[in-house]
Amino acid sequence: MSGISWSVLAGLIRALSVFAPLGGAQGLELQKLLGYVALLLERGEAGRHALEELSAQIDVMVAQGNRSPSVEELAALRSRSDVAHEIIQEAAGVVTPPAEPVDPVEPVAEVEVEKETPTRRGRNR
Amino acid sequence: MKVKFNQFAATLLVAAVAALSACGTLNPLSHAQTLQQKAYAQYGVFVVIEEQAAAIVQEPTVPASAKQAVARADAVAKPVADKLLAAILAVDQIREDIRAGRTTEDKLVIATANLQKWYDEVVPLLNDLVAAVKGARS
Repeated sequence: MSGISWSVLAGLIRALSVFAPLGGAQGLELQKLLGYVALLLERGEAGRHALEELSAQIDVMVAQGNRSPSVEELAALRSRSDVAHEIIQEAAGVVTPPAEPVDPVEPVAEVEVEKETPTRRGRNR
Repeated sequence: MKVKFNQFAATLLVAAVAALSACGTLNPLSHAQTLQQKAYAQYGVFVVIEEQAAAIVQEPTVPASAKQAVARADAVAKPVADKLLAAILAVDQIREDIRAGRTTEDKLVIATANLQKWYDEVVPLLNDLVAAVKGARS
């Protein structure tokens, strides 16, 4: 890829996606794909590396008798998605309630509730 | 003048070949051969875009409204993408059940149709996410 910078390549791919003289569903699919690739090229090394890694992973599946993705491979992708999703929602200020209140907002109130527990009172007497 | 035009055309051709070869390396979908591999590739592309989105929304210069647009697109796309992932597992499980004689081929037909359905449904939502990310960048 010497001689051509990634940003020039991204621009070229974007131009191809606009001017690709293809019709029908396949043409549309190619245009969308070129759009994703251009976006990722513009974003830099991380996106490119992730796509190359994914392509290589699929090559391995094909080489291993066209096997399906394993449970572990699926779980690994899911976990990456969960992390990214949480970051996106947090950064946008979307508050998702935690499953268990690990850090109570008002610790004092919790202490009060504990003091009111009937068992504790009985024990104190 | 003609020589200059030929040089320009040759450069353009080299650039086009380079672009297309980059598309091949960077396009996991073109490497996949089975529907399950294609679905895996599609989910993988979704995750890569989602990670790019996560990086963008953490940039302080990106306006809150753009971050919220990305978050909305992701909130709509993720459940559907996760269904796609579950559908891959379901097809595998049914194949195993067929091998063990626990179920019949018609279940596999339904599960495969289901996988195709989630695959088709995630595409426009992924495009929406890409559009939101592009919007946040500009």
